[in-house]
Amino acid sequence: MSSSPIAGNDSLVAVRDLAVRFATPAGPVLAVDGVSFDIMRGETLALVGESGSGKSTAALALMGMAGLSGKAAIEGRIALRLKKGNECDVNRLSARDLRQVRGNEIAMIFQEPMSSLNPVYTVASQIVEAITEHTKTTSAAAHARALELLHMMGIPNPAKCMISYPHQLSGGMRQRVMIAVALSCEPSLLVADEPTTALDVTIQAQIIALLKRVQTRTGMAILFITHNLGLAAEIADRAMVMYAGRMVEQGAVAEVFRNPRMPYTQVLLRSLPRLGRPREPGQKLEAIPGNVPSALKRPSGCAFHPRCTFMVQGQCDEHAPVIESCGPGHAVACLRWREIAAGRAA
Amino acid sequence: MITMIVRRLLTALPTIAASTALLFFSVTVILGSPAGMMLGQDASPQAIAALNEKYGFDRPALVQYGAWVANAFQGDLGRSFTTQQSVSRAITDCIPVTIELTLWSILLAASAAIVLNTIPVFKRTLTGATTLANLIGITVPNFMLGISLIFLFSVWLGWLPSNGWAPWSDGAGEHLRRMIMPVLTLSAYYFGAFSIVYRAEYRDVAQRMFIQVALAKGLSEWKVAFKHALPNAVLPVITFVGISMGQLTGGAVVTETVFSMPGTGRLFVSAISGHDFPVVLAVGMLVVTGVIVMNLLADIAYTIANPQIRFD
Repeated sequence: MSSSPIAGNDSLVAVRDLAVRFATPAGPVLAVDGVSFDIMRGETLALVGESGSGKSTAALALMGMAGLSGKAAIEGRIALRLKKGNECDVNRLSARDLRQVRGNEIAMIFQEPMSSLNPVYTVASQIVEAITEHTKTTSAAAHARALELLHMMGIPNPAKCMISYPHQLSGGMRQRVMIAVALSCEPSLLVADEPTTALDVTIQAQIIALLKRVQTRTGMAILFITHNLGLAAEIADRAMVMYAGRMVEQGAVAEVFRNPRMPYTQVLLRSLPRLGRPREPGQKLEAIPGNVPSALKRPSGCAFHPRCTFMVQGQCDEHAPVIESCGPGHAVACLRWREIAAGRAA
Repeated sequence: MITMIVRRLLTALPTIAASTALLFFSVTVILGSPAGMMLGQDASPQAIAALNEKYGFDRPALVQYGAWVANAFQGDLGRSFTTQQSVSRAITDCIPVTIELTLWSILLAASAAIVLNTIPVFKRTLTGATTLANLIGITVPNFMLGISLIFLFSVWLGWLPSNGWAPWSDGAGEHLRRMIMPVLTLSAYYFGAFSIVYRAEYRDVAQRMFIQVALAKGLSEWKVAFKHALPNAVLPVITFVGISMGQLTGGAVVTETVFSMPGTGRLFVSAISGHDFPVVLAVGMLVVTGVIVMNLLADIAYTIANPQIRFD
């Protein structure tokens, strides 16, 4: 482990050249293609991208769960600093050791709070199960801890919630319960895969506030997966944009959103409606022409070139851009970012 | 819950009444004069008239039905035309045999179907073999399977006695030893059928989000399969078990015949071929009651298995 990417710095997770390839009946699909990133202790990293950009697969790979839905080949290195202080490569762990990472070191909450809880068990048993799986404790102590967690989640009547079945709770309550399950073993990283997408906007704000509060209290890092840039700006310290399985831009949230370098990020930001910036009469909200490419037929060169207004024939469609630094802590994968930033590109 | 069960049982009464009435009238219409049937083609009109008088066959059908119902309420289901034995007695003799055969078979079939199709390792490596076993169970006729088992275990290996049944009074060992082959025979079909139903449901459940959540908690594959997927996939099997048990109160005719077991199935078949009207009627009523009771039990089991389902 001499060449460990996290030795001697404050990284919690260091992903290097992660690639996830699924064998499908229609041919091999490269869902994640050579992605590298770090997550620092206690920070929030937003992973932004459209559906099918590989962001969820990349996140599942952190827990060794990317291959569950089918036959997958996973390459690259996922260095994770464990709570005990030593480190491991998630991609090379045995099934038994992986189970020690899941739920204990890295916990995950999902998009659909409606279907994330098992309908046949009470809330209490689903939280207690997560606790007893990783800690040697009595049932009574685990119950007490579960009650405390529900209280911490801001659930009005925790005792009643404990004995409830999932169908008796609202969507917002279920997501709070899910967060309680995820936090039960005090993970050092919480992966939140679009945790508010299925919720009302008011509930969404509550859940975000809750996540922030919990983070301040526990100091855990959050990998926040979203397609909602506004949400990313609100919650994250840094953002990472993915397109067609590749990382195209990453940096501090303020920097990425103020000075986006990748044309994809730029157009994503322009397609957001803004309050307090009224549109001219007749001016339409900008939409990105075309669709996200199918993972089976990824465009040559830069995968974004068919939809990019700065595309240059013979360049963008032939050479895949490498990730290069474009500012302090800011990286971009675009052949023409210098010209575009200088306003020289048409 | 209790009031609901009572209400369900009360609403079952008209169903039982209607189906026995239907059975009663259709049997009288189809079989024609019971006296003629019992005495044969060459019977003299005087003999027929005497018999009609004795059993009351000359009364209007409605009156006969009324009398039958009145007697049935007192536990008297009449006497068999062929053996003159009390029908209630004949049925109470047969029922334990049939119920025991049914319970063992359905229990074996359901648990084998559920366990074999839940074990993660089996699901990965033995799916083809289980599917083949299911197809064999469903397609091979019972009598063939029964005879093959007799051939294998009794004739070739000599492990088990070939002539079916022994009462409990002969000793539990002797009784159970003779139960093995009939139970295997009868459960084969249900094992296949339950497996197919369960597997389809399990496939759906395995895709649900809470399975991924359970894995993300760090639970083992076995725990996820048995604790989280199984209870959600078992509901259709419960329904199917209820229906099957109800039907089997009428006896497993082929299995009982192959292994010469004195169950209701054989009683029913011999009653039909002997035009033994009171026995046919009594077994018919038994099947209707069995189906209703078993469906009610299945509904109760449903609410236990899934808290989302409640009696309304």
